[in-house]
Amino acid sequence: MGALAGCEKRGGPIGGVRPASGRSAPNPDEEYVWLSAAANLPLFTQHDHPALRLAAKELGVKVSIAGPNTVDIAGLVSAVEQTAARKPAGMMVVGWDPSALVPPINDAIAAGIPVICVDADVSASRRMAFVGTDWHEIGVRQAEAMVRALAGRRGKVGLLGLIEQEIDQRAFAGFRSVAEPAGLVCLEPQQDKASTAEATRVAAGIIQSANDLVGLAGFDAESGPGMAQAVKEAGKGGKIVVTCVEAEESHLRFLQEGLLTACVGQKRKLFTYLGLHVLYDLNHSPLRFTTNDEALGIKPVATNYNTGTYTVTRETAGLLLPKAWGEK
Amino acid sequence: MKRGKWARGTISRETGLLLLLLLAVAAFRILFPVSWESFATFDNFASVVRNLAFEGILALGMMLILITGNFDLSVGALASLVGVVTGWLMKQAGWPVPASIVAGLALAAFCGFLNGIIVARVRVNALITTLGTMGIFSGIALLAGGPGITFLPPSFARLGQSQWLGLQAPVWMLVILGIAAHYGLAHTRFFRQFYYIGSNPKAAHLSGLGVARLQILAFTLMGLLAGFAGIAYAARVATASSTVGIGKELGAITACILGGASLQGGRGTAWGALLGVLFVATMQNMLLIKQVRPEWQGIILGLVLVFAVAIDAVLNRGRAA
Repeated sequence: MGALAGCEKRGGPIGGVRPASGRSAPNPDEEYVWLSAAANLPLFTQHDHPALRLAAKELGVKVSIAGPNTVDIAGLVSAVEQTAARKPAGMMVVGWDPSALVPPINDAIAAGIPVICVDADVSASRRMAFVGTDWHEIGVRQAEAMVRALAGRRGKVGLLGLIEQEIDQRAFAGFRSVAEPAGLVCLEPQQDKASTAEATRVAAGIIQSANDLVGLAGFDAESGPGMAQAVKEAGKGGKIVVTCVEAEESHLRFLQEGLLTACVGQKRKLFTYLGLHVLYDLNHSPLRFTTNDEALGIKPVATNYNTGTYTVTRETAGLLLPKAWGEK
Repeated sequence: MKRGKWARGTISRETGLLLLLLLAVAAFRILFPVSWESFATFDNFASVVRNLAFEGILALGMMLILITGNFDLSVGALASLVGVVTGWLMKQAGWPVPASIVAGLALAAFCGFLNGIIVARVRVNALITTLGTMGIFSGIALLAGGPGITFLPPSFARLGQSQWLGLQAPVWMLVILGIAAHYGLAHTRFFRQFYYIGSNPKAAHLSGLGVARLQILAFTLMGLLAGFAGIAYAARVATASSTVGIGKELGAITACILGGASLQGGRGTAWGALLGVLFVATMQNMLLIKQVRPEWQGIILGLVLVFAVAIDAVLNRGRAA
């Protein structure tokens, strides 16, 4: 990124000097804001926030975190609007709601603030880029792992997730695109409210409802532990193949017990690490593609950054786990 | 409290809810004979009661609070916090399991006591107080527990995973706590004071009852029960999750209101709280087994809840007339 020199930055910080890379240097008060609902979710605090701070340190800018601590979409919209009102150098928004967030994002961009989406997209908005996982791919990866583990067995598969989320719907579609041609029947996706307890309850109900259930696939961070717990308590370990998204310690222990078959991990740290670099480049990149990029609306960043996934199985879970209880 | 229901040709909310539940189950059997095969099994029953135990324990505590004319929004967060602290003590600090559990329960009672002091002595509205402490408890749980404390000691996990008569330990904990709460509320003079202060706190005060003291006690017991719920859940899954209690307070309040409590205080029974939790859980289970779309599940459940309470309101009007 940014090998060309000699071009003026657009709308960036005042008084920047151009470092050797060709990018202008940041203003010491340059601030970028990460905004999300449920802003203190453990996944965010463990991965997204530390990576954001790391990128800020590398780039010499300030970062802050904003948004409600619950899944409060109105609160998130309000946080985006209030943040935009104080004109930060850039905003990255987790797109919890693909429609409600369109107006505040567009308004912020109209006010001259670079805005990108991370983790979950608001594709209908004028956001300048999206940095995150391709959720269709997450669905495909899970289905591939399940089909492999079933080794020709056929039957029904239960799907769990935050059903109202666009990213989950893309994941369900990705899952079906592989599972159904392989002879599996996907049940109606069920809501688990991103809660382990709820995922356990819902998965337990699905297990009871279908005698020919051969698999469960979950698409939010809490689905995996919840489904595994339900399978364990129903005494169906080894009979029902369970795949999920994320590969945190709570998932890995179930992998090790053989209750989960595969966990598709997201490279979450890239969301904010790469996201901040994208926002920074929107302000500082020396790249120019035409003689008048601004008039043509050309941005010096890519539109979509697929951060990729990785799959952890029972065989590889041990590589990632700390020592289990009792081991010294 | 006593309504002389059968004598006057009316029925209590609890009995009405039980009849409605039986009616729903009968209708399910007639309308969906294929799904009935999956529903009417012991495994399914065990699964339903196992999954309602956490909320059931919270509902018992919430009923005590509602009877005194208050409510507590912090119970879900407190259950998470207690689970995390207990898990942290045994996993990170190396405390013995029994000591960790005692410390967790002591913390739970203390947090409930704090809520009680603020509501009853400082006289801050219970909604504001417990909304505030919900944020505090939840934040501390997240700071202490992060994404969750896993691999809790097997001796602790056994407390939540062991079975008797096919039902898991948290279910039996709920049964024992339910019996104790029922005995206390229905058969002891001491807990009858809760109804008096909930029905008319001024009159109760003029009668010489220590209203503030009883309110503090109710909040402390609520805290203790939230602690039991958090520890039982952590033991069941061998993981202390910092978010497990999110939203459970509303489920507990809903169950209590369904089961005969009133937001104005002075009404309710432990039996009603348990029946309320069982009613919601059974309805959810039937909808799941029928593979109803989640959007419709919310609508149907909402309609049934409103219907159940409306029927009682109509019956109450009949009684008043």
